[in-house]
Amino acid sequence: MFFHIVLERNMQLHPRHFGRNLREHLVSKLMKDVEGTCSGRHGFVVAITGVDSIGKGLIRDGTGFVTFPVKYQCVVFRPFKGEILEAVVTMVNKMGFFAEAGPVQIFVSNHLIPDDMEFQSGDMPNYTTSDGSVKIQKDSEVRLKIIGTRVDATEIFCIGTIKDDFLGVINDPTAV
Amino acid sequence: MPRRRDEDEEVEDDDYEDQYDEEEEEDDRSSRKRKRSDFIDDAAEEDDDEEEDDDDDEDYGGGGGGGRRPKPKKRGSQFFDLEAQVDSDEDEEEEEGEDDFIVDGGADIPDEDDGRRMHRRPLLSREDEQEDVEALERRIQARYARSSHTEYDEETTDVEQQALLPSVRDPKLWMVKCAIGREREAAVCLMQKCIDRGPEMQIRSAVALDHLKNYIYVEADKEAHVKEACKGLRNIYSQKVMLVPIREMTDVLSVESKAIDLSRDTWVRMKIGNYKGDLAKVVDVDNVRQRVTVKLIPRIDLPALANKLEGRDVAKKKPFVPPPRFMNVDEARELHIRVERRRDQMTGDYFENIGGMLFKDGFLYKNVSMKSISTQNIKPTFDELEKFRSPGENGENDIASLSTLFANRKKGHFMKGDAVIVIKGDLKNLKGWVEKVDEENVHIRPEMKGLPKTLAVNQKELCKYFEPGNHVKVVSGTQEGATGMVVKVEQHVLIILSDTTKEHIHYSITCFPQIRVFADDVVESSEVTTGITKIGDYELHDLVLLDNNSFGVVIRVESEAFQVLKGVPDRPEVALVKLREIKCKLEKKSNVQDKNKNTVSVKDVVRILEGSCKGKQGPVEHIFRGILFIYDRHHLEHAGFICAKATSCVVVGGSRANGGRNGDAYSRFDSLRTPPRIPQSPRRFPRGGPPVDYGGRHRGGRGRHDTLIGATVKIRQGPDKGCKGRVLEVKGQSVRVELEARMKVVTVDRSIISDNVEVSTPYRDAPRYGMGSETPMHPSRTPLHPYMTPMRDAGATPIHDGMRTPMRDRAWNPYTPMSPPRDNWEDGNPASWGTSPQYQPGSPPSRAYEAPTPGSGWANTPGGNYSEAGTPRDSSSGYANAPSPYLPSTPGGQPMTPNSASYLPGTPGGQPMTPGTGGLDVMSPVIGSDNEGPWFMPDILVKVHRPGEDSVGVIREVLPDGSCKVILGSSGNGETITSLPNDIEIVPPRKNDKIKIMGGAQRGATGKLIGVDGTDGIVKVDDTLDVKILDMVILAKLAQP
Amino acid sequence: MSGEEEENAAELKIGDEFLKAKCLMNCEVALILEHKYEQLQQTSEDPLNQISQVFEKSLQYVKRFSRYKNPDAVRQVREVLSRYQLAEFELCVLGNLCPETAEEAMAMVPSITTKGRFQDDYAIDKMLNDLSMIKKFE
Repeated sequence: MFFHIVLERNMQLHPRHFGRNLREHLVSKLMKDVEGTCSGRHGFVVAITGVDSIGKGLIRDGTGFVTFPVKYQCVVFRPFKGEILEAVVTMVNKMGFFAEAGPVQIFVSNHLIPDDMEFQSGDMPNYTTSDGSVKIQKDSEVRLKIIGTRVDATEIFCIGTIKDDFLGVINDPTAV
Repeated sequence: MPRRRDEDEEVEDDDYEDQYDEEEEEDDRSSRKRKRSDFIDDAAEEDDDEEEDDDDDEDYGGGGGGGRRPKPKKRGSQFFDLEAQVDSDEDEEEEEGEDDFIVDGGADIPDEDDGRRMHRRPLLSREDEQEDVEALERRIQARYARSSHTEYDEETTDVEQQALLPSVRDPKLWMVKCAIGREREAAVCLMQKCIDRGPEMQIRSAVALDHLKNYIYVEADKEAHVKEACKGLRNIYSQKVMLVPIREMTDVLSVESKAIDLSRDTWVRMKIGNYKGDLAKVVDVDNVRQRVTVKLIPRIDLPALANKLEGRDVAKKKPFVPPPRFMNVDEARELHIRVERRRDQMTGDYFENIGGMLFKDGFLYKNVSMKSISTQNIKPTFDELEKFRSPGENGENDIASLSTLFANRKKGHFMKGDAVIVIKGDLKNLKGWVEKVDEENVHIRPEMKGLPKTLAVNQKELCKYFEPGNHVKVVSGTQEGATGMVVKVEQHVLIILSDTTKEHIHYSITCFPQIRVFADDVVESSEVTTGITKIGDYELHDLVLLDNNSFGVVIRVESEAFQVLKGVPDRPEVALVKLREIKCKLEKKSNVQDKNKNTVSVKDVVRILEGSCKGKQGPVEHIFRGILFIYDRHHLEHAGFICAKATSCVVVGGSRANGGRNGDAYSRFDSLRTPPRIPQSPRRFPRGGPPVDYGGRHRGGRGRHDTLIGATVKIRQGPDKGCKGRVLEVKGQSVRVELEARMKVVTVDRSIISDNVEVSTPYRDAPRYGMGSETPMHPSRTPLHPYMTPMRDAGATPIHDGMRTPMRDRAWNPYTPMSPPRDNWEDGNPASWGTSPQYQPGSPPSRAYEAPTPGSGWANTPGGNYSEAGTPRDSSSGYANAPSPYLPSTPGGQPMTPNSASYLPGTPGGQPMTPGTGGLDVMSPVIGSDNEGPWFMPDILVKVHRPGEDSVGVIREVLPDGSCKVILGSSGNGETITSLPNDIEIVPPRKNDKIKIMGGAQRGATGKLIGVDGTDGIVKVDDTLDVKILDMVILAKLAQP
Repeated sequence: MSGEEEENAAELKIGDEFLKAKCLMNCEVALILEHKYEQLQQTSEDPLNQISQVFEKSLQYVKRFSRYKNPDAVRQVREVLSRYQLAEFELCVLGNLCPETAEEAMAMVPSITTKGRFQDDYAIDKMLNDLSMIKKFE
């Protein structure tokens, strides 16, 4: 789920940037530093949408660098256990398939794919029901439920299931 | 046989005791004859005899299951007594006489109540030497009767048992050496001596253990007592008497318990025969006959069986054991094996009887002696359990049979807070959390409301409970240490998605070994680590050198060993190695050459061209002895690693100099703006030299003249101090350096890089820039050896000329460390001269560039060029007369260009130089032969640099001299000026802009930029509606009319 | 560890911080990110270099999975849904997934049945109907 939240960060700035454009420098540095990062608590920082306040700078001893506390608003993406969302299948293999929902990658193990769907290997590996009516392959859109998340330093990884009511393929690329 | 031995021994013992008796009788006039034989026999039963006779069984039955029995405290509790396999024990013997088994079990114990020590003294001190057998019997009767009244508490608690352990105040146990093979005899001698001597013997007991040769144990308070007792016995060497530490005393007499209760559904392993080591499940137990019926996966060689049953001569028994396989009755019938279907009287089940063996559901049902199975520490593996799961069996049974697995649980298995589920009994399926753990009982806080706050449940009825999504850590078993997420819970089995392989890979993870473990072996873990990835100094994905000088990459770390993908290129070979088998970690960074002699270093992306993994590509993780270990995230096996010979791979790209696109683009333009004046070789410009000029200039291109480019430098100051890197670009005082270690490009001041510039290895990045999306290989070759293989250079020049896209500069520049590039040509590359002739206007436009032929490199392009160019002169002269390339004067426009081919034997590329010509030509016809802005075209939006100001304009016309008429204003409605190409800069288009293609085959065409991918633009060409991928630098923004 | 305090979106256990934070539907995110992207395009020569992979992927994702494209419609969705005393998170899940039946809605957002916000399935159906109307007239 995407959220719009306010976060705070202490930014260090080199004295050479002091001047009229200090704020600009701070903001652009903030964007560079923060956008695209991921933390377990807040998820992926997708975009900074605004800076609420920049506090008073504190000169650090010995370096001349100044630390500014910056409060900023940003859009974050944070997956939750139990959350249901839609995702695009990026890879299918015999263990299951990977799907992406924005920046987050979700693995759906074959144990969490309905039993009536079988893996079919080939150029376009896929999971297909015995009657062939439903097929999951690369680029399929699926609705899935996140059942577990794991946080790394740089990403959040999820496992999901489509073995539940109202979950599964919502759009089959071949059908279009 | 064992039985025989027993009997023999018995007899022997008897004999010798008799003897003894006689002797002693002589000595002591002892007339008493006791039934020693029983006792001795008893002792003889100590070991695992295959067959025990019935009275022995009764013996055991009466006495209880075997177990441990600390000699010093014997009969201390029911527990000990129960377990005791009676060893030679004089006191007991004497006191109990003939009924010793029975007394042993029951009658003795009450005695204990009176006082542990008591029973001995009276025995020893009794004056019953002359007592007749009847009297003895009476006494025993009396005691026995008394004991029967005493209710002995069945459940001895641990505390009580603890109290029975020897303490410092108890007699000590001494180890005395005796003659080998005479242990029993020695003990018996001591015993006899005690009997004969009575109280003057101050030892308490003597023990000989069957498994211990050369020693007997004697229980006594003092060493002197032992020596005293041993005096005069020839079999005992009492010089050396060793004290058994108090803690080890119990162990001396502990006997591994033989009889555990075997019950149905217990997992056991076969000890002997073809099925040795196989897992079996107990289906029936006959305690009386000491036999069990087990269910096994048959190992039957059907054809052999058929032969045997039909009485045919069976070939000499093959040494191999048939693999376990379910019995297929139909198959058996096909081999004309008689299969009878019979109903078992007792159970009512049907069995197939084949040659006397019973089968059901493919399993073999075998009746075996309890002795032939082992029941201790049975830990079935998953595979085994899986195999045992036949269709008829549902999970219920599984759970039930699990209880035997639980028997092996360690203490502290359950911890407070663990989620558990009850799997047996009334509360079955109740979930809860562990609150407190007692010895056997676990207090759980049930999930369900309306139940008491905590419930005590026997730990055997509990199983840890997990849900999919839990992050867990495996705490025992072969997967110990692994962490992962629970994907599925099947009864007690968890399927876990291991984190391990995920480590290390930043984005997509494609292969997870899914591991299966028992729920029992797992704890929930919030650990965000990725399991064990390290043993000792070696970590997952390390390149290691093994004992036998082979090497490989660690692809999995198990609890005690590594899985290593060996550096054998042909087929993947995985070895399981122990820590000590690894010699060292290989960390040396080395470079190798790929198929095209391009340098490959770690982190380069390569594509595999040959072998089973053909077509795969990924970054190189390790290089050793010409072998690359490539990580392909789409590769499912071996943790994504592929091992390949460097020579069967080609570099696809390199570490990317990112973020510099703009700058680079501009710098390209820069190069055009300030064309280097290179007068030193005028003869090269027979036609006014533009072509060569291009060549030269373009070579110069990005950071031309700068020897620094491509060089490896070290940064001396600043945040990146100490880092080494390759110079990508030099712009005035600043230098852009790609840091090796960080895969990052930084811009630093030129003054802070170290000067000891070494000419770097060829720069891998170039290709990318050079050809854009076109064949990656193609550029990669050329750049490599600008100097050594002249033809390359030669080829090179034309090519980039042809492309006349600034980007070629980039391709080239790095490889021309000497500033005036042309000099190089002159000196080193005679062939380069050959190129010049081809710079002729009028030759066909750049066909060569149009068709990127991957893999073909130069060779192809030129070919096409030639033929299509249709300039007979070229082909004839170029190929036919190979004039001396050393005639510098000729080159310009001379038809008979020296053909490089002739001078460059062995260059696979063929005539690399030729292709370029086409390219050059391209520009000429269109814009005129002159220089700079050859690629400027009408209608494109440009920036015009004028003194004092820069303004945007639209090129109206390109004059023959190369200068352009530019109408100022973005829509082309302002003032018209004429500008030199140097002052004009193309406005790079953005996504969705209308563009005009300024170079390549599509030159002149218009289109729309539908996407930008790095330096490549994705263009939809207006006329053809084709989508092309073109280098951004040949795209110009089209002025909107 | 105890299994009780664990996060579970189905029970709206997403932590206080996020429970109180403003949730965004995919369509809203799409508007925000596209706006930002355009801004970047104007200020920088090469916006592609400026944006992170996370941004790019998110933008692609929300564009693909936005039920409503029109900013007005997006606003209406929020408006309509906010009449139903939904938590931010619930609101956004409904807005993202647009369930068609009450049953589906309850499967997607099990927590909506709590707190007596909907007396019966019809109440949920009504809400879903409101949603689909917006789509229809977008």
